Amino acid sequence: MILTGDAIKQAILDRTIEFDPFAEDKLNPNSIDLHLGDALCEITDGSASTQLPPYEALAPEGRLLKPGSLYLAPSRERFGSSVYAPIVHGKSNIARAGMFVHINGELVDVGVVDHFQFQLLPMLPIRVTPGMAIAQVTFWSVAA
Amino acid sequence: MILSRASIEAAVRSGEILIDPFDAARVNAASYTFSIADELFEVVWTQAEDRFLFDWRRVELVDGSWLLEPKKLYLATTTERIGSDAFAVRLTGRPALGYPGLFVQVTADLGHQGAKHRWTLELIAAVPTRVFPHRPIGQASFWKTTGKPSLYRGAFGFSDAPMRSTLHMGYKK
Repeated sequence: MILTGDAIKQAILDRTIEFDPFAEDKLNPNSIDLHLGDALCEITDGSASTQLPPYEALAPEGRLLKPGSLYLAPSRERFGSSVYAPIVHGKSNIARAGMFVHINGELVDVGVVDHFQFQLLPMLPIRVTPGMAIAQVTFWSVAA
Repeated sequence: MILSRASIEAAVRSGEILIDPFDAARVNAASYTFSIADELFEVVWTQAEDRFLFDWRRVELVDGSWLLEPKKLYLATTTERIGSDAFAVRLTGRPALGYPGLFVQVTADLGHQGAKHRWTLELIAAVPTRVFPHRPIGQASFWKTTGKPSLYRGAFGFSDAPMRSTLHMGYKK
């Protein structure tokens, strides 16, 4: 079953979901918003012999992402749960601007508490800024 | 938990799920096949001196279909009004419908409890793809929830017209 916004809030308050920073106005009927952090890197070569480039700081004025280029960026929030399975989804407003926020990597392991690493793949130019709401996470109950 | 064929049929009959128009033949083992309506827009951008301008252009039918070009963004809506106060919804593609390489919803697959409308479809094709109005294009699945519901009442949840990103609204028109 998928948690309602109120169930997510209760689970955060009783620490069955870790979610930091938490703000109640980021709750939706069935999810809570995720925001871009303050770092980002462009991936131009995904071959195994190549080290991933280091993150670059994302300045307050943001950065213009190029259509067809791939970027990695951590979520501002650190979250996870040893009780529920998190699934990350884009937000409609970002999808309607033509940007994927993951590439099939939407499921987070139960028990892992960390920042989510977005895989940003825009099809149109888009300016992203630190703290921009670009995604949301749902929490799902797990069969025993 | 995901609703089965029988649960979807029962919930439509009881009114817990809205699917209008509803066709019993469109109910799958754990989803409902929805259609694309008859309006399609492409979001286009141009580079001005110091900024990008975004616009959307209606894509006209040619011989009864639209040709989606790769790696462009198209917006449309479902033919059906779909939604539920009782269940969360996910809208996804359905490869069996004959669209290899069509991304449906660009990772924004979640439909909140309480939103009931013709959903805006965000479409990106990996290869040239021919799409026909009022023909099946994706599937809606319905999911049981746990916790006190707070139904979606935002403006996005009631529009039957395709919605563009607010990130693009300020640029033009």
